[in-house]
Amino acid sequence: MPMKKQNALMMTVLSGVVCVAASAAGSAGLIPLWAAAVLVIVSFPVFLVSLGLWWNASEKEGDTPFIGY
Amino acid sequence: MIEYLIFAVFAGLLLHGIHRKAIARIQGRPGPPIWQEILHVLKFSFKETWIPWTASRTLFVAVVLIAIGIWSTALVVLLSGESLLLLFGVYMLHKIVEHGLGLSSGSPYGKFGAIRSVMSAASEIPLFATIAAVYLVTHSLMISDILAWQAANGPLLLAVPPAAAALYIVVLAKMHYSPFAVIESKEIVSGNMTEHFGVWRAGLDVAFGLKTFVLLYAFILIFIGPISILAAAVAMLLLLLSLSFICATTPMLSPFDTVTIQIGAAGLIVVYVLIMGVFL
Repeated sequence: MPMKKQNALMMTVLSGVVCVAASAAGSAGLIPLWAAAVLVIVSFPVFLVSLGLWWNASEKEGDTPFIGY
Repeated sequence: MIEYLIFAVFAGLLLHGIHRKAIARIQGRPGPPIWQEILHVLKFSFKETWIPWTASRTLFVAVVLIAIGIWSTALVVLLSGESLLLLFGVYMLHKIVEHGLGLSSGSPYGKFGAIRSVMSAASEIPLFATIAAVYLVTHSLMISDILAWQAANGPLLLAVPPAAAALYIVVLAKMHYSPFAVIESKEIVSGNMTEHFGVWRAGLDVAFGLKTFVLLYAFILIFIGPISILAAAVAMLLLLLSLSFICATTPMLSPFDTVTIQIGAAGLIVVYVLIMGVFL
């Protein structure tokens, strides 16, 4: 079952925010660098894949395939 | 940190494009523009995407995420000057990713690719010889220590050239269109990547772009030493062009020849390291 566009968007935004926030917090010294690295490494792949799935997800039903006469 | 990752992704994809262009020019073809691989990622990410019926759904998706994750880890390890062992641990995980990638789809072509990835694990053996030789000379496996040693004593490339040759073979084995790239050989369509299309393929291309950037940059850091960013970029480009030349002029080897050559090269380097360790 294809992922709903809304769910894909939520995942994209959430992982994107974690990526940027962890990176910024690590650079500013608010969290240890290793913790920032772990958060970025975990959220970056999720961000990329869910971004693609969001672009792809359709909001309407797919066509009924031709099943012969 | 995220800015380095994004830069490395684009730089890696651009390096792939340059690799394809160089191969084409050497073979007398015009070749695609050098930004073609970046366009490929965008194209794949807009393609319709689903999971094949025959696939193991969890593994099929997870392997894409893990591929991006492990090469992101490798980049962080490299930039933070951590242990060489961590970096080479990523190489081992990459082998598992290659294997899982092929097995996850249920496609026979993918399975052939997965089996070949296990067989071509011989390509990792020269890595151990490299690690041993680097340790014998610098007495450390921390990348930061290796860089400091080179700053004081000159490039490791001149101190242990066979170890550099070993890593060169490893990098060559991981390049697209390499004579050792039997897992994605065209007689098995796209090998272990055959059934990963759309967003999944875009994710894999991003991971492999990161991989190429990390492998080339690691070679420069480990064997040339601390140099400016511009000099490192030029060195990476020259290294890539030398690899492209080999890929353009050497046909893909059969799987058993691949293993024979890699084990043979690793054996010679192991002998060199043993002599180094005992007599020097």
